[in-house]
Amino acid sequence: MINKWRRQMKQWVGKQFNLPEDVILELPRITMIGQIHAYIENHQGLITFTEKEIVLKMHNGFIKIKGENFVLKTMLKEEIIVEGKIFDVQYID
Amino acid sequence: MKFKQGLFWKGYITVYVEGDRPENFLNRCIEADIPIWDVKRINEKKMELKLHLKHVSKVKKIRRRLGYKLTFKAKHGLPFLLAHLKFRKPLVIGVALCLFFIFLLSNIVMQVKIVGVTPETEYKIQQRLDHYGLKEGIFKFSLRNIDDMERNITNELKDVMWIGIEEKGTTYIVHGVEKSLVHLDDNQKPQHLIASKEGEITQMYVESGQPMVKVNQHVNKGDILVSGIIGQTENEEEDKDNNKNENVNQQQVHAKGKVFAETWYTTETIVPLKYKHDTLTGDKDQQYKMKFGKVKVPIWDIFEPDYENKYEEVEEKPLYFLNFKLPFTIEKKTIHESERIKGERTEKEAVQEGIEQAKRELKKHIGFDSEIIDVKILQQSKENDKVKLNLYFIVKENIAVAQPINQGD
Repeated sequence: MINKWRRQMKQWVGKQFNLPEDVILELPRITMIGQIHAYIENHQGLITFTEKEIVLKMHNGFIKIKGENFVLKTMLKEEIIVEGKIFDVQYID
Repeated sequence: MKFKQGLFWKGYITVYVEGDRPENFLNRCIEADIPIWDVKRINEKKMELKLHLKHVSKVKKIRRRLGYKLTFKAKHGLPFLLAHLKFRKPLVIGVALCLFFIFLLSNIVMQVKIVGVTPETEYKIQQRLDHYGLKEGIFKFSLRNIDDMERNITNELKDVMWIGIEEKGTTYIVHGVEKSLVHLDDNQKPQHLIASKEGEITQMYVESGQPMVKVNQHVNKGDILVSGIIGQTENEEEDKDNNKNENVNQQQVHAKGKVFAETWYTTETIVPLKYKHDTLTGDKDQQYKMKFGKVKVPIWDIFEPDYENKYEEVEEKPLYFLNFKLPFTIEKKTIHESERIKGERTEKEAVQEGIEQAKRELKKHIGFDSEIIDVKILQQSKENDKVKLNLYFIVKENIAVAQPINQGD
């Protein structure tokens, strides 16, 4: 009950103050620095991690990142930093 | 990335995770709020990752639930170093003792050197230094103020003109300058003795030279008392005896002697009828504190003495490690018990006190072989609870001072 009420409150505040969508709609935010870094927020879990491929679960669907020499620099709740050489970012429903 | 700060201090480990789908293990860790970094895939069933030491127990719980195999690859950071040192206790104790002794020895006076003086004076200075506590083997911070020591020793030793104490690490170098003894030349030079003050002569001791005055004679300042030219009076006889050469009997000598005379001083003193002053009872308490910045930690004598009135002296001494000044200082606080003396005097007592005061004052000005013969009160008045005295002193003192005879050539 309180959670629901809080979500509604959040949406209303977001609209009123013109906040970015990733905050309100729980969409992933991916920041990339060239090919070498990808900074992914709001993920829901790690599905696959190999040297050449990372699959992350999102709110609705998955993200697949392809490349080589992947290392997870940081793994926190809702935040992952990937280092390596990134070739491809795909959204899979 | 706050969790990556202070890694060395907190300690972290590198582990291998083996099992089916190690990603699953990672997800569990994330859910349990365990930060993980530098994750590498080794092969299908194996991953390498790093995590904080403090999370190891949590991770082990997860492992037990999911059935993965954990292998510790490497341990990093201070906690592991310390744990390792536990097995090398003798070494640790040795190093600690070594540092402690270096620290101790850095704060001890190792050598006191006295330079620039004759062995005789050196011995005297040595004795004074011992008295003031500057000797080999004591702690530097227990020393008194060096400036005071310099001044006191200079005052106490008559044949020393100046003393400087230089601190060089654990060595103290005491520079002394001796008063040069009276030049032998001066002893031979012809001189008169003249009166330094007006007075009436009471006694004369003449070692050499021709006395020019007699006992009970009144002399003015600058009068010749003992002449360094002897044979002068014979000039009168010269007429009678022309054969004698004029210059033969005229001789210049070093006049020497003491001429005591009664001299007079008038002084004015004011003595209050009510008085109030603080004196120290002699009871004292010493406290030592270690000071770091503004934080003070008591080392010795924590309790404040229960003195009603007190007078505090605070001295701060730096601590050394080898030649480096440490940020710690030792604060030495001496608390003296003081006493406030209040009282009233009658006019009679005030007069007595005034005379005593004036005598003490006068004795500072006249020589050590002088004596006060008589005191007379010239004037006595009382106003505003104060007694004002005009005193007249009769003093017997040596008024002879040397005056070189100008030889002209």
